[in-house]
Parts: sequence; structure tokens; C-alpha cells
Amino acid sequence: MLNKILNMLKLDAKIMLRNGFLWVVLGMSLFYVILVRFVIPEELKLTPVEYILDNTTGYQVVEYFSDIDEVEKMEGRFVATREELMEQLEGNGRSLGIVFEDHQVTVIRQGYENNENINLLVASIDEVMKEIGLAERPVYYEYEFLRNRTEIIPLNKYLIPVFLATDVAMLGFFFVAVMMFQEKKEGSIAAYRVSPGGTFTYMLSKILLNTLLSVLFGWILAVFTLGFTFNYLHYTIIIFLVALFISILGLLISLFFKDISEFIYVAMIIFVVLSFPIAAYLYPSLSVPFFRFIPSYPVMFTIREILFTTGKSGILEYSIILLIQITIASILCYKVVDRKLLKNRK
Amino acid sequence: MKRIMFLFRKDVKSAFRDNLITYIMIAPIILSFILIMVMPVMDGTGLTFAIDNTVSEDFAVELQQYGKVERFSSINDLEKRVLLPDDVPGITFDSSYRILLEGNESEELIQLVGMVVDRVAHGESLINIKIDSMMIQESSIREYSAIIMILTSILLAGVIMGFNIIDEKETRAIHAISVSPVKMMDYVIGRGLIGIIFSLILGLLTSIIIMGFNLDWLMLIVVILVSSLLGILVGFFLGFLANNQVSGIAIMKVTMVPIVFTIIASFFTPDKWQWLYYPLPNYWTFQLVSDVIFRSYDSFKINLIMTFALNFGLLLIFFPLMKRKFRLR
Repeated sequence: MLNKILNMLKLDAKIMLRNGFLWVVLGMSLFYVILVRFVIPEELKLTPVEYILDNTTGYQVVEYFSDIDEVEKMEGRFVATREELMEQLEGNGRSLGIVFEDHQVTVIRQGYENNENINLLVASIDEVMKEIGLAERPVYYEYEFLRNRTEIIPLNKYLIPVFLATDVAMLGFFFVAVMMFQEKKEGSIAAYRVSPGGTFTYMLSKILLNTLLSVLFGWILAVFTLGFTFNYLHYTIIIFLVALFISILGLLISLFFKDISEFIYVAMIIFVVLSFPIAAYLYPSLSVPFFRFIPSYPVMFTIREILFTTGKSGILEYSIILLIQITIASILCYKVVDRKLLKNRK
Repeated sequence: MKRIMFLFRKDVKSAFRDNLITYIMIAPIILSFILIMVMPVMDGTGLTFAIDNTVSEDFAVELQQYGKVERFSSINDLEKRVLLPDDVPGITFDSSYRILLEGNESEELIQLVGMVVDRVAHGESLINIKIDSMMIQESSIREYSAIIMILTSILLAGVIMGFNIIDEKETRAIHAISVSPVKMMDYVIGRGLIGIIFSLILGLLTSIIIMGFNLDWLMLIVVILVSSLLGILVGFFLGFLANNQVSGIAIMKVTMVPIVFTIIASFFTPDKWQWLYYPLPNYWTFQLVSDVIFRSYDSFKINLIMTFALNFGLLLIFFPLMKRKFRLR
């Protein structure tokens, strides 16, 4: 049995190498490393921009932001006149205007924003007024942190789980599917049916190879961006399990299509659905219950926890969930491969 | 012309025979409907608060003016909710309000929650605040969804075209074509036609589903036709480099990620650095499609010229290379 698996692995590995898969994995991982290290900034404002017109006596708002060393962050957001403010608002559909006067603040909204977001802005304006000293009131709250405060993760490194999820979880299922389509087209499947190899060997070889490529990708990305600052064992286990699951899923779904041209449309739909949780990852305050059931959601947050530990314990639970998913998917996949592809070859 | 139509009819026949037409029509419809369902959720990117039963009903009602409120019956359940991966702060009351946080939230969120609790607890603003509106009723999320779908349609059509070329290489049909009267120009146009038509069908369908019928139809058709050159370029690039489907997928991955990433990156790049994207055809294609969807035609001419020039220019560069590789006349 082991010999059959190794032989099949060698064969599939040769096909992958001959078609440049290894170079693609190396190239893509280096591309992301360059992005993280040299292209993506450490900070970027992803929420709507506020343009501010300070009409207070003595420009107290400008002075306040200078005093707290926030002037650099506010570059380009202070305007001199109302006309300039309106021009900026008309030019940027994702912006808001705030006019500070001695006894009044005017918020100029685009019109489509929901009231909750405007009220949040108003609450933050209250705070600025307090800090400037234009108003005072006692504080009725205190903070309690359930875990230790962690350092803010720079944006470029924060995106590493997104890149991993994209490459491993979303695109991973393409490779296994296309290898199967290629073999169908060439007639290799027909030859395999009369060979000593079995359904399990056929499945395991392709899935394992794709999984190992995903792990290699994950290692290169992590080593050259974060070094050895986290637990590589946990990291490898999670990537291995996720890649295994996605590869099985990719093979299973592709079995219901005749060729790559049909499959690619469905694969695109799956890709788009898998990418929705990226919004929840980039905006963690966006709480959408159904996102949690999309496979890429736990992938990103679990990998984030491994790379930037906060002491959360969910890694073991997620690994168990993955193992259950892998078991169910592989049983289904085995049956379908056996019936549809290998025609009940044992 | 006859030769071009021969190649075009061949592709259409195989599309119908292989049920490809069904997938071409259904997939963008499904995708567009999924986007329509998700759009309202994405648009309401406000906060979510978790509270327990120590917080008064008045406070809870007022808090709903600032975001979604989830209620829990005990402090343990509240803490469990706060510790989930998303950033949902918890609020409980015990002589004063306690804001429960996990510890990995951003400084902005931490401060914002404090500001909200402060405001709600006091019941009024510190200063007179007036709200004015520019009366723009819809956010841009619908438009950006339409732009994404049009670009996806164009690239998808190109990828299908590329895999058709790979198929011809694998079956050696390309050798048969090379000894036929079909010339390289006929081949490029014949193949490109199917890419253009698929782009048009998909692009229009998805635009209608997401934006409705209130579209600048003529401009949209012109834009999709010109933008489809990007898909055709990708398709020929795939077909040129890949010898089989396996290497086709590998090349597709290597091509698509930079194409998509540069478009996303240009969206967040400040104006003074936009020039970095000027040599890229996908950048101009994105700008062109954005112009027609947003009906903002200030830079339309330059975007149209650059999209056409860069995509067509690259195709022209490719032309002799493909001619040599496919051995067409």
C-alpha cells in the first residue's frame, strides 16, 4: 500500500514540477513577502475620511491636534474655507465634513451613511470638545481587559492571514481539480482503472501534494516576514489541515463537472463567497453571524492568533473542527471518486 | 472574414455542446445576487455592542442609536461573546459602567466605545451639534460591486478563451490550423471575438442585476468592448505560455493575483503616487469601467485612450511571438 502511494506521489510530483507548480508557489510566496515588507504600509485609514474646518477662536482644534502630535496623521484633512470643504466632500464619496465653531459643531454627511455611524462621529466630537476644554463632565465608565493588552499589529503584517487564506483556502482547490481534469482528458484515468492503484491512493497522492505545497508557501511567507516569533508547529498543523480540507473539497466539487471551462465558473462563485470574511477581518467590528460559517473566516482569525498570540485557546477546538470536516469530506469524496471517476475500482 | 467566422462558429458550437453557455449565463447571475444580498450588510459597517442584564433598558435603547446591541443574561455569557474573534465590546454596570474588552482591539475602537458610553450615560451632547446632508442617498458599494463584476466577467471570458487555446495545443488542433488557410490575424480576431462576446454578455447581465436598468447603455457597451481587450490579452498570454491545463492554472494564478492586487492597491494609494500604476493596462481598465458606472466622464477620454492603447499595444507585441509559437502564417 505504501509503495503504491509513493509511486503515485512521485508521478503526480513529476507532473506538478514539469508544469511549474513549485515555481508558482515559490514565486507567489516571494511576491507576498515583497508586498508585506516593502509595499503595504504599516498604517492606512480604511474608514471614511473626515475633513475639518476649524472656525473656533484661536483655532483651538488645530492646536489640539498639534499638541497631541497628531498633525502628521491629519495631513490633508484640514481645510481653510467652507467652499474648500464642500469641494473635498464632493470629490470623495467616502468622506464627511466637520465644521467647528465656538458654540456649535456642524457635521456634513454625504446622505447615505446610516444614523448609527453619524452618531458615533458625534460621540467622538464630544470627546474632542472635552479634551480641548470647551466643555467638561465627569467620567462614568472604566475599562476592563479580559486578556493582556497586545501591541497593535501593523497593517502589512495584519494582512498575512488574508494572503494565506486567499492562496491556501481559496485557490488551493483549483490545483487538485485541474490535475483531475487533465488526467481525464489525456485518458490517464482510464489507464489507472486497470492498474493496481486504488481510489484511496489516487485521492491521497494529489491531495497530499497540494497540501505540502501550501505548507511550503506558508513557511516561506512566515519566515521572511515574521521570522521565528511564533509557534511554527501550531502554524504548520493549521495550514496542513486547512489545505487538506480545501483540496478534498476541490476534488469533490470538480467531479461533478466535465472540464475546466465548466468548473471555473462555479469555482469563481465559491472564491467570491470565501472572500466575504475578508471584510470582517479588516473591519473586526463588523459582526455578521453568517460569515462565521464560511471556511475562510476561522482560517484567518486562527492564523492571526497563532502569528500574534493573545492567549486565546481556540486553536485546538478549530483543529478538531477541521478534522471532523476532513473526515466527512473525504468519505464523500472517496465515494464520488470511486463511482464517477474510477467506476467502482477498489 | 470567412476564416474568422469559421473559428468563431467553432467556439460557439462547442460552447453550446458543452453546456458552457448555461454556466456563462447562470454563474454571473448567481454571483450578482449573492453580492446584492451581502451589500446591505457591508454597507452598515457600524459597531456592535454586547450588554448584560445589569444595564438598564433605557441605556440599551439609547445605545441602539450607535450600533447593534446583543443582549446576554449573565456576565459569563457576556465575557464569552467579547472573547470571540470579532471586536465586540461588552458593557456591564456595577456602580459605574464597565467596558469589557479582549485586549487586541485597536486604540480607536477602545476610545470610541468609551465616548459612546459616556454620551449615552449622560444622555446629551456636550455641545450643540447640527447635522447637514448632501442628500446623496446611496453609498458607492453598489457601484463598486458592479465594477468588480464587470472586471471579473472580462477576466473570466479571457481565461475561458485561454483554456480553449490550450485545448487546441493539447489536441494538436493548432497544427491542423497552421496548415490551413487560417492566418495569424484571422486566428487572433476569431478567438478574440468569442472573448469579446462573452465579456459583453456577462458584463451587461451583471450590470443589470446590480445596478438595474438605469445605466448609460451606449457608454457601457463601448466600455465593455474596449475593456474586453484586457481579458483577450490575458487569454492569449495563458494560451501562449501554457502547454496544458495544469500549467494553465499555474499561470492563471500568477497572472490574476498581480492584476487584482494592483487594482485594489490603486484604490488606497494617495493621488500623488498614482503615477506608479500608469504603465499597467488593468489600472486604466478599472478607471474606465469606474467612469461609466459612476457616470463621471471628466477623465473618460484619457482613460479610454490609455485602456485601448496599452491593451492593444501589448497584444501587438505578443502578435509576432504567438505567430512564431503557433506557426501560423
